[in-house]
Amino acid sequence: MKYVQEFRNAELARAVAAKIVTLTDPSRHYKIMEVCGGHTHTIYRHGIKDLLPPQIELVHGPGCPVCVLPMGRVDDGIAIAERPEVIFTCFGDMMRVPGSKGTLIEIKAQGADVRMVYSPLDALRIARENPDREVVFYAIGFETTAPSTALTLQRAKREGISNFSVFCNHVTIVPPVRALLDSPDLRLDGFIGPGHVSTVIGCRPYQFMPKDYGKPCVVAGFEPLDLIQSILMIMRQLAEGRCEVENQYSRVVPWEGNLQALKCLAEVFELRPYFEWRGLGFIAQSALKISPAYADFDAELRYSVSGVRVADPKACQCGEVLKGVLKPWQCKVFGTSCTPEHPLGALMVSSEGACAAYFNFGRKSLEKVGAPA
Amino acid sequence: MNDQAVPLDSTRPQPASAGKQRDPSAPRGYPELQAPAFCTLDHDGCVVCADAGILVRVMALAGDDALCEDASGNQAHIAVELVTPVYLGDVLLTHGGVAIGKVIVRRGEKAS
Repeated sequence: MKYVQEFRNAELARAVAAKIVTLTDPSRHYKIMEVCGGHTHTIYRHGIKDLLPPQIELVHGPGCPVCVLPMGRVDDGIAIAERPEVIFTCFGDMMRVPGSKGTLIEIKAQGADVRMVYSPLDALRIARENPDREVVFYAIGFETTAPSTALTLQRAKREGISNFSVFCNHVTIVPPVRALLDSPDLRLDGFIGPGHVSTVIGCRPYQFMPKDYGKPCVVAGFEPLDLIQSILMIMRQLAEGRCEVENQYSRVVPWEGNLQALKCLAEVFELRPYFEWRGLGFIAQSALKISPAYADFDAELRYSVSGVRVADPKACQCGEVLKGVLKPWQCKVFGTSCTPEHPLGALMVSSEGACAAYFNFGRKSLEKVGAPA
Repeated sequence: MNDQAVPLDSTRPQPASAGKQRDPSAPRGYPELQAPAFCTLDHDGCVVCADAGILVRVMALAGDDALCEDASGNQAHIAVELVTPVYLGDVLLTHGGVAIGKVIVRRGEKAS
């Protein structure tokens, strides 16, 4: 298919990598953060890191929604799912995220009616088919996923489906990036911006990076050549002393975003005053809640969610890895007691979690640098 | 790109693959795209994460939904309310069963 295959050309990727080398100052160390978990996945799956000069370090950002979800919110979801009248629906990755008392898949094994869905529209269909049961959808994700939840709620309201509600955990991308830039732990030279989030919100929201912090940002696609070209664009900006937002993924991302989707989001959601992020703490206006116009579909109101804050397991260092302070393999439990089969922390659960990506695809790089396994 | 939207109804010719059970031994829709890293409608990636944005082509329109086909020939009904107007042959970016963007076709370029 056009727009995919040509972005996998290895020869072209090597040529772009050679250009990156010519722009690299050998005496300087560059830290570039890829915000999105999908980018982390592509980088390790396709060995992009191996094409880059050693002076360029790629730092993984907080762009995996499963990974940044605090344990308390998982526990709240489990509490709803355990109610006998409820059919609890969620995306597949969410099923294995550990809360303090287990996972959704474990309570399913104990008899709770937990069902995996591909789309919130599938959850709505289940509600239509089961009018005598309460169907709850566990909504999670950034601005890429939020429109599908918003659209589903609009359809539910239009059709008058009263046995459907949403436990909303949608988050927004800009506030955590700002929190990272304010963090004294981390010095970054540039950002690879999230491609599909930008399909919805556009490129304008990232302008604070060059304006307020003097950091270049390039919105990138998810094919290997997209990633390596976006690194070249950042290096070119740094070499030329420029600092701006550029759009590498212009074949899909309009500069203004998707105005229809933004309008739909504005109707169904409003910003929470604050929300807890794993590793980053509470961040103001960083998450979405269901607006009063759709309050009838808000599972938090329908089931009186406790909202208790739960600390991560002591051995788990997901927070430091999420902030880019630690590499996944520097976590004390990485690859030993925490593996994709038995994850302790959320970063090992999702295939886009930095730890899972390292575990599955990054081990050769570890051997090369002599890092402890 | 086509100029007019075509409703899904029995009076119009449907794509050959629409509504049919696929023969597993038959070549899939876009055989050059069998690379496993590519996200398709049956290869998940992480659906909560943005990398599960899947490129699909519109095969038929039906109200607020469209029958779409991905690079591997998998078909699904996708909600297209957020990217209207949608035409047959458009390439859409879908996420969680909802189209969130359209591939931008530049002048002189064909979407296929």
